[in-house]
Amino acid sequence: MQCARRLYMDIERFIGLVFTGFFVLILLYIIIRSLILMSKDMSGEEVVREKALQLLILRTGENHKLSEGGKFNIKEETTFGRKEDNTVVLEDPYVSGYHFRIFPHEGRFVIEDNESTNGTLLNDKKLKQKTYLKRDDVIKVGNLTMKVKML
Amino acid sequence: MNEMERKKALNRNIKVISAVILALFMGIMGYMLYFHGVQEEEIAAKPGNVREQAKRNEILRGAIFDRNGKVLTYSERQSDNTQKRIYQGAEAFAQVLGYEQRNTVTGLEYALDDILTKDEFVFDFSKEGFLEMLKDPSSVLNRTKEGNSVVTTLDQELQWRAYDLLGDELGEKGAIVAMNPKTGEILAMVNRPSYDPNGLKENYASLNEKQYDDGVFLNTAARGSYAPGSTYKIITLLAALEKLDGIEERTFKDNGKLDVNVGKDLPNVNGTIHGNIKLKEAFAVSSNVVFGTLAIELGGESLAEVAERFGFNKEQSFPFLNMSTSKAPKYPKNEDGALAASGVGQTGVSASPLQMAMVASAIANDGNLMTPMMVNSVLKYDGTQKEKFEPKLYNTVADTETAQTVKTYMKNNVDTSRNETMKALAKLRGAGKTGTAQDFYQKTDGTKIEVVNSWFVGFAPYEDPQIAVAVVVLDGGFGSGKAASIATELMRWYTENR
Amino acid sequence: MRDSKIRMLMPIFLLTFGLFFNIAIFQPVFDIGAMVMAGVMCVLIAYAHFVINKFFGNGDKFLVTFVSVLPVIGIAVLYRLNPSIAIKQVLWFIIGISTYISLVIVLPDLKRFMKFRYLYLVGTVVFMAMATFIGETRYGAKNWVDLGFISFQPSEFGKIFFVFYLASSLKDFKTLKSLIEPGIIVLVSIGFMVLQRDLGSAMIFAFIGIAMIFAATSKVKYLLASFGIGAVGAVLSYFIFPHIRRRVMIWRNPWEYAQNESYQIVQGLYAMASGGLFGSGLGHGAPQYIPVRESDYIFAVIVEELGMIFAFLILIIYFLMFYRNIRSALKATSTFTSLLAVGFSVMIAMQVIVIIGGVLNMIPLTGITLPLISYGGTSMLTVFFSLGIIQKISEEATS
Repeated sequence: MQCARRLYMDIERFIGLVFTGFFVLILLYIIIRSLILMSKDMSGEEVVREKALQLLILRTGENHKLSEGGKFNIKEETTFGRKEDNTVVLEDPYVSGYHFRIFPHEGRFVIEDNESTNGTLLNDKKLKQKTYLKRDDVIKVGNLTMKVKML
Repeated sequence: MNEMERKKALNRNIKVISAVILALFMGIMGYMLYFHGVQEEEIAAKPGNVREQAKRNEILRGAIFDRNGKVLTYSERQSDNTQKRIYQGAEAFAQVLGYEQRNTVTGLEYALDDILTKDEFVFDFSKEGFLEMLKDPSSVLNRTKEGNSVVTTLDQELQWRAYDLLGDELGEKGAIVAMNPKTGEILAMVNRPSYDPNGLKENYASLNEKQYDDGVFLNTAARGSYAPGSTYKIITLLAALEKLDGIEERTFKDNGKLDVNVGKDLPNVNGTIHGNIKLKEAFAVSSNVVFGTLAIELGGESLAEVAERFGFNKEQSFPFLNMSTSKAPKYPKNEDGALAASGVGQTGVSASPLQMAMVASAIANDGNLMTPMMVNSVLKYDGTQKEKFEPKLYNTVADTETAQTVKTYMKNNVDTSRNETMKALAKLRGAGKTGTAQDFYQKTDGTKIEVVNSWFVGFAPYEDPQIAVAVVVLDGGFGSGKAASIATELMRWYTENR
Repeated sequence: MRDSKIRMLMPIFLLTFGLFFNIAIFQPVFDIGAMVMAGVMCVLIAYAHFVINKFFGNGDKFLVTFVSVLPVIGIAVLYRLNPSIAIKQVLWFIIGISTYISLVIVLPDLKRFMKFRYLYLVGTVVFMAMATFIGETRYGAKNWVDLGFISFQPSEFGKIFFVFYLASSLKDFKTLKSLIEPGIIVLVSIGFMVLQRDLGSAMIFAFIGIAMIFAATSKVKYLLASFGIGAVGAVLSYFIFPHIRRRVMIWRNPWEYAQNESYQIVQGLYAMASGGLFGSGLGHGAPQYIPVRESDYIFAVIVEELGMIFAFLILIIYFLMFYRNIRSALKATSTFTSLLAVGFSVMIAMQVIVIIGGVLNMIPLTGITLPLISYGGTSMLTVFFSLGIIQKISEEATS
């Protein structure tokens, strides 16, 4: 009953104020949330930039320059093949001149087979189109087997 | 590399541009704060801002009723959402109720303005209240808002009678006030000339011209000031009875004219010589000589003191009603000419018809003057009573005995008169006092016209007064008794029909 | 990331339904139509969000939110003022948002567009001049063209060509000489606007020109020079054109001319002052006294009914939108696209500043629309188009 005395206000105005207050809160939420996300975005970007792919060599196959257990850190576009101007040169005759590449896209890494003669296997399936790499993916070229790790 | 440098430079410029735009945004935000903090109140309060009026318009202005519930004024919502005020009282009620037009409010409409525009709906801010609202939100959110209505003390039929009587051949200008002496309720208050407020918008310009010369808008019944003439003798009589011992037994010599030392001699009407008369008869024949003498004997202060009990010399305002200040002069005894004239309601004396009605009322009510009342009750939008006003005592102007003596004198006036009108009044067992006042009327251009006003002040029936009236007919002429006939007829109707 | 976007959709839905519900319950009979409109808008907005986030997650993720909130507020207020206009505005919103999304999906690499400099030049001149020759006058400005089935403001399209032209001609800035042609176009465009008495647009074109030239040239002296020319031009036109003198006069003394020339400004001020911090409630103000309340002056209605605080927050959202736009300019991969983004960002931001400043009587009033909120199909299309381009630019900036 004390309510009735305290809030001696036009009911219409009261309801109007309730609504307006609600709208103000929503806008505030949107603004503040956006600001928070934006600042995360700004600091988070560098982290994404630093995100690198790591390839763990399980089996070297015929590639004598590599060693089992060795690791590759990939940050930018990396090409694999027999030709000398590849980023990673593979000696295995099974391997084509420009066999496949791994490159970053939208914060992740993509593997693409370059129409190689013998193909590339991703998780034991022949790689037909560009595919995002995820952790624990296994790449096989001939007897070269590598496992994907993220940093 | 050039591209890189260019890129860097470009980005730097872009940041500069952004800073400028940020500054502009902040400027606007700052101005918004300034607007709110500094300018807002001032701007919203400017007269050009019609929002206050629009808000007022949301509430349908309340109606005004007569004492029996008959509608006198009400408002109608038009199709374009404006309100139209309909004055059913028309000419008879024009001045006392006033009008409401756009931003101008006058008369009773003005006095009642806050009440008529108040929406009494109060929302119950409790759980039950909200639940009720949910059942039918429209009834709360979209309800038609109405102001309070007011039940006045006026009697619609009586008012129209008074208005018609005042205009019926007998005179074109004047005022009538009728009161209930026991409660102070004002039963009728009319003015002539008048106008129909329903045509106000169209006729305003031409009416305004008439305002000063003919005074159509002013409620002269309460706000006018006139010399009451012989009706003032009631007060002089009362003062004499109270303050001069043995005045009732005294014999006066009335040889038609009172000689004074300073100022004008005071003649009787038509110079009539009354010879040796006692007070009662002097009152009945309205002897200026006798009452001038009494005034000189009493002295200005003393006489004014009695008048002041009725409200003279004071700024009066009654609930919802304003009255002009009546004047009772206080001439010293050496200014006997003026003093004598003031005793007969002439020099220096002025009163409104309402004031004189109050005089009659007080006497009729055995010396107890009740505060004039215009409003009986206030009703909320749903018809329930919000407030009821009770009669209040204004002042006791005389002890019962003296008042009753005056009462009998007034009855005697009527009974001993050979005038046809008075005979009719006697049949009603009425009492009263006639008066003829020499006054002047001031036009807008400053010129003064001398007029002779016809007054009557009285009440009926004598044993148990129901109604007290004061009638003044402007420029009614000497002794014509116009006011008396009107008053008699009015009181007759009232006592027979109410 | 997706999760957080849905969390942003929730408040938008709440806002939309809230606004329309507020309007609906105060009608004599609960207004179902309002709720239907709310529903339609929410569907559209959800669709836009999903498309942008799912398929084009590389670009700016905040624009689509701002670009939904502002029209929602606008359409709700328009619905309160005049439901049939609100429906038309919804249609324009649909067209606009579709344009926005289509631009991102359909357009190929924007760099391909940098070669059409002379096409843009012609387009600019054509649109700017159009109204002078075949236009009609509305609200004192001769900048509308009525083709029977549709009427539009050619200067709005002119703005787009203008920005594209300046971006393509300024990107290779080397010497002062290369500034001559763009300079002329800028002056010509402003000139036509002044001729057509659309002073607000003239100002916008001036600001866009100055900003883009400065961005491209980095030379402060050019900036000062253009300000100088602008100031001289402004002062000259003050003396030459009586209607400009009038504008300044009613800006300085709005109360004196309250019955005639400054009636609109004064009514706007009354409205905003009566609203207070929290407004008088949606539907409970008295906007009927404000002239042109559906387009240029809609801001006054918002301040009156929804309050100063709410309006302040809208201003913040406009600024955040500007920030995201300019960020795309900073991250753009080529000078051309960067300049494009600068031009459009400045265009939208200055429009906001100029009209709100004018309504508040902080600066003289000019007749331009409040982007995304004011009623106006041409305006909405132009803004959505610009934002679509910017979104595409942000999309392209991967690294």
